[in-house]
Amino acid sequence: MKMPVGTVPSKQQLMQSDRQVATVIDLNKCMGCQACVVACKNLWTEREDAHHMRWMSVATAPGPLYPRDFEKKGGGYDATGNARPGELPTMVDSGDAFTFNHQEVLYEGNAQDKKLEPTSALGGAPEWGYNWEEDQGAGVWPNPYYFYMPRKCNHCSHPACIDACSRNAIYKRKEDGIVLIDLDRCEGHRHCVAACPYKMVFFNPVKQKSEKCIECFPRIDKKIASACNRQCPGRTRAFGFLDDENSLVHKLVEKYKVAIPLHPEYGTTPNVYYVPPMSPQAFDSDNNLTDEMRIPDSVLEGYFGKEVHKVMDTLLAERQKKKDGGSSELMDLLISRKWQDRYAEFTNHPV
Amino acid sequence: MNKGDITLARRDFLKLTGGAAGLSLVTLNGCSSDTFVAEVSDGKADIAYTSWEDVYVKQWDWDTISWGSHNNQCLPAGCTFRVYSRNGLVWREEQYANSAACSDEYPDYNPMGCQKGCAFHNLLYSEERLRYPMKRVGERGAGKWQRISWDEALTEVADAILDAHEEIGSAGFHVDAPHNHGGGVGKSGVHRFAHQLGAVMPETNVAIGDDLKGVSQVFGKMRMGMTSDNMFDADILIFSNTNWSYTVTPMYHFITEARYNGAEVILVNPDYNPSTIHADIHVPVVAGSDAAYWLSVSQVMIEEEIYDRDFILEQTDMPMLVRRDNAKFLSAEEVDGGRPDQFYFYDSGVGGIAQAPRASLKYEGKLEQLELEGLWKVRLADGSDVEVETVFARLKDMLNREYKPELAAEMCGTSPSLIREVARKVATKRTHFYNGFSTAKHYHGDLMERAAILMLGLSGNWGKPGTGFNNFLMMVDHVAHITGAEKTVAQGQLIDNKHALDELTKELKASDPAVSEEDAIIELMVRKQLKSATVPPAIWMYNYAGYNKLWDKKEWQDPTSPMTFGEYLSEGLEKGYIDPTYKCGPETRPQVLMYNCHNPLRRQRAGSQMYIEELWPKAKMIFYVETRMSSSAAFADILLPSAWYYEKEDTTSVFAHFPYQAMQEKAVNPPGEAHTEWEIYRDIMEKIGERAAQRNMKQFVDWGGTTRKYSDMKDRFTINGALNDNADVVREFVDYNAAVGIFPKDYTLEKFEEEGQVRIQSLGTSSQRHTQASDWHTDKPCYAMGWHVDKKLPYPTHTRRAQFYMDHEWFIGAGEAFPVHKDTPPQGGHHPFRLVSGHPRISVHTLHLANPHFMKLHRGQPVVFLNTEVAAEKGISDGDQVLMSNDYAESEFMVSLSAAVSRDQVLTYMWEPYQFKNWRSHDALMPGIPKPTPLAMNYTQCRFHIATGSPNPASDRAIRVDINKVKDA
Repeated sequence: MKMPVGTVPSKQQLMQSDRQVATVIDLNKCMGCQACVVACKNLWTEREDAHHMRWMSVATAPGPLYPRDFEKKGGGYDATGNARPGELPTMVDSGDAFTFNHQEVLYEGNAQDKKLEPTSALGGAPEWGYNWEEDQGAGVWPNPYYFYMPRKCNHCSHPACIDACSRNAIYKRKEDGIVLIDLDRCEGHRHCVAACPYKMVFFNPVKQKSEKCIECFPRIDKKIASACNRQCPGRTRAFGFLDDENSLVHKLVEKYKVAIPLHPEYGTTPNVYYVPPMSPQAFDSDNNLTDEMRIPDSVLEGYFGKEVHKVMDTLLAERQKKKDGGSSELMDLLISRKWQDRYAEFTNHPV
Repeated sequence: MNKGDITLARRDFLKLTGGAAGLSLVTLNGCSSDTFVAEVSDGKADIAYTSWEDVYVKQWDWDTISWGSHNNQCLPAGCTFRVYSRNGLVWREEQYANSAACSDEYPDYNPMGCQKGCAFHNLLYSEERLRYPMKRVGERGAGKWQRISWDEALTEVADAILDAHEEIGSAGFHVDAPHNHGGGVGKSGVHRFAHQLGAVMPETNVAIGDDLKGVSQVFGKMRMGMTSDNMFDADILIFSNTNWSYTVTPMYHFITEARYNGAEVILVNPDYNPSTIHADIHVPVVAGSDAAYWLSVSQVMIEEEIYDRDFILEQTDMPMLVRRDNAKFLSAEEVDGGRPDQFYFYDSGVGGIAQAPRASLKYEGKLEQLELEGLWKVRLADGSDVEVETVFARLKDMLNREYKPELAAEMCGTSPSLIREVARKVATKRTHFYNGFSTAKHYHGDLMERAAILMLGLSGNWGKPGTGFNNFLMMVDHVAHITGAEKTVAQGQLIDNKHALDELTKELKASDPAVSEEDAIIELMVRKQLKSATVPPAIWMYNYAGYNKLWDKKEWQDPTSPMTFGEYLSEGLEKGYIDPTYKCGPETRPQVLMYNCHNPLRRQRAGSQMYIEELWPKAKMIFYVETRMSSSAAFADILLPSAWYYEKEDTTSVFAHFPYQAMQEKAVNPPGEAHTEWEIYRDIMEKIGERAAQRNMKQFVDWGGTTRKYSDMKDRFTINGALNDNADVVREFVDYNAAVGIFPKDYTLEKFEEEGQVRIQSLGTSSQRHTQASDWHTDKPCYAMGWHVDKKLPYPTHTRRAQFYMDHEWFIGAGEAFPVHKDTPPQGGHHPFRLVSGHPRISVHTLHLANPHFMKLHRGQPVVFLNTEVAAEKGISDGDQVLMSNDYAESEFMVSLSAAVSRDQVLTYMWEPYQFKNWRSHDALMPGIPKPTPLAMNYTQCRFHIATGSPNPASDRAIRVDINKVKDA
């Protein structure tokens, strides 16, 4: 974004965009496979200075999620729009960056005396790491429950990171609202890291700058969907311009309103939306099936707000139509028999 | 505060952020410029957002793009990828995502490809990667190696094989159950190599415990399945003993989408496994008790008269007559001196017994006049009278006595209502049943499978769209072609194949006109097996690897079994149930062992004890053809490094879930001096010829009794140079598939290289076509068994029907003529927890387990899941080190506390043994006692042939272990 020499852009200007791309993630399909995570990592952050960064992450919910306990680390805005204080995640909160000891296990004549094990980037045995709570879940047998929570930068419409940056190094692209950090301007003060309530900005200790999801803009500029969105084998993702009425994101977010943001109360107007998860029938104390779903309403509301109840009602009602032999446009949209229909105009192959 | 007052907000953030930098790594070089800041402050520099974008744009760059895929990292495997390379190294890969649906009504297959495929290239350059031929220094397993040349390595291997030939014969060289993650060329190559050298090979599919015995016992065959879109035609989807989110990742969306489409998803599994989160109903059976559950479901269907009477009359043995005195089917031999395999119905229309047709399932009389229940007297040819009743009557009696829901609930741990509810749903709705490979690793898994198929049979749930007992439709005929070909397709091999089959069919029909095409193909494979040096792995392990010491232990036996494994083995050989070819005696003992894509310290139950202590000391030479240093490869004498995916031309083996075959190009050279497997086998053959000449050895006799000249070995292997390398073999694969109709007519390698993938057009001409027994479609979903249901073709079983009553004396003697529930035997002793297991998320097999990229996706070390409440009671916290133990062994793990396992369960997936203290994984706790009744290899559906037959030496599910916190050292 080029500014005339000598001018300092206002925060309003930095946050303004003419259009906004959005991602929808369907939690009724996410199986926690981590394909989106490796897609992003192998493309952007598989380098010495970025092993601890998971711009795309998938954690098991309920749980501390990723970065660890981000929901308790502040940032964003309160109900009246005031900035909330934020904490910086530590290296360990960021999932650590384990190293391993293959050489001594396999090649140094140690027979079976050494085992392959992770060492924390801080030295010693890890205390915590990425996806530490994989598949643990919550509840009590025979009614355990869990779902997977894929997260990435939300490319918010009112990003706290832009607000907080003392170098005006962060801005939204006019043409699509992608939030980017200008690495030439960034000096690594990390106000953005603390200010983001989702803790999706990461510090690069080697470059001494902050980095975050770039929404694969070199791909977007060629109308190729972001790697995490395109490479998801679960077909959980939809991507496109929110104002494009033909796009799946528009239909799910604006028309049917079944895709809603995570923690809307953080006040940043995020542009990653979730279709919340239905869950299996719960057992009563005699192990008979009830009509209740496993995941408590309160848990869903804790993540997605009160809006989630209406969404669940819609999903169940529309699915029932199909069970009864009828039709449902919403169910057909969530299926997307043609995979390309999920990506609006971003359907080019990466060649 | 007004959100519009952005400057104020920024100052607030500056005030509010503490300044404590949690990140403490040292800055190596500062990228920020003090000059720039100064200039900006002075208003001299342009605040232009310019060059940093290039940093990212330059990362998104490559030199070449190639077709790629991965062979048997999982099932289905065969996803088409684009592989991006830079400077001769693979940079990354991404799904091609261009696999159309069969029609607009069904979801397409895109994008295909999972996390394992999307990050595969990380394996190519890892520290585990073998790059040079190596020879051990010091003891086996010491962990010291010296690099040697290929010539030295090949010479040592060739000489060792020739020594074995001299001292024992060709059977002194054993190739231990190779798997196919090496690729199609590698797999066909190793089988061809072994076969041509007369090397003994324990049958791989049975050795790994993937042979579904119960399925064969009912249907006479085991490898049937569906295209994934078949699930869209179902009302009920049942998944049993499987975890698709981990193991069939790219097809998982068909389940979640079928659910949106109105289908009901039922997950039958002891733990709340990760695939259950998207189900409607979890049926939490106690591990190993599924038979009780399905038998009770069957009882409800019969009691409530909601079963499909016409279906079972026609398709199954339900109306067949069994003698009450000896529990055997009434046969024509005793009635009027006719065939011993001619059985009877009772036809009330004719008022007496009627022969059950053998050439077709179509009954000549009126189907509705066949009796399902009743007791009659029959006069035999010798003048005596016997009482007979129908199979159905016997079944109903047993089910009513022992498997009513209130009784069955005690065995399987669910509520009676959950039994009744599922019974009523399945009986009235189109049900698709997917059975995973876990049943084959339960000691009584055969009973679990038979019971599940029973309830599908009672409800008429196979042979129709949206139905089926599905698992294993895998297209490997092109691999089988290369394994045995003496000629290429162009030279006329297929004509020879057809001739051989025609001759055999003529021979068989001469004594039995009812023989079907399927029967003939199976008999052909049974005979081929006898000549191929492929042996039952359980017998091989019992005699060569010391497993007799484990499997006959009295305290670990199935209390309901009349004999130990060893006793069944002796009796089976004595009575001719087991062909003497398979006895694995000392005259065919292993002196040289070869491993290819096999990590026995992981894969073989108790491998880390029995292979290290009993088997390997017997071998004078152990050599590996491998891509990576696995725990087992660490014990080799010689390591031969092989090329991996993207480094060689290849093509995938197709699993019908995804009916496309993928092209694999050579994107880059393998690192160091790694060669392709085909080159390695070819070069060993050449070296054998060379060394034999130098040692004045002329010829040997192979397993089939044919004399082979050493000087011919290389030429025979390569068909005189026609199959010299991977590229040649891939061309031959394409020619074969085009010739038999699996690929479009006249399809060529060039077209394949251009398109990258091709849709399967048919199931070709050999056995797979018949196991599936359905028309193959490209414009609608495919399901199994249509020919039996629509065309009334008989099943390849003793009774020509889907058979639930096994009247072999061993089955009768074990009380298993019908499927029944039996508790898992106490292998390893009596302990409080049932160990359940399966394939991990990040690696399906061992390939990725110890790769840092993948290990950083979880705790990076082995974990065992323990119920949260139980852990609290035992004073165990999340992350503690625990000892898993039983009477046989112990293994140390980190514990992960979970609500998703029941109180009586502990759950772990697969790990690489060198991730454990003393390299002892939980596999060490598993004696793997094979259920011995499948040694009844004379019974029609128990015969030993491709991928099936003979006992699974892999029973580990639900064995009992204890878990305790490790005392601090």
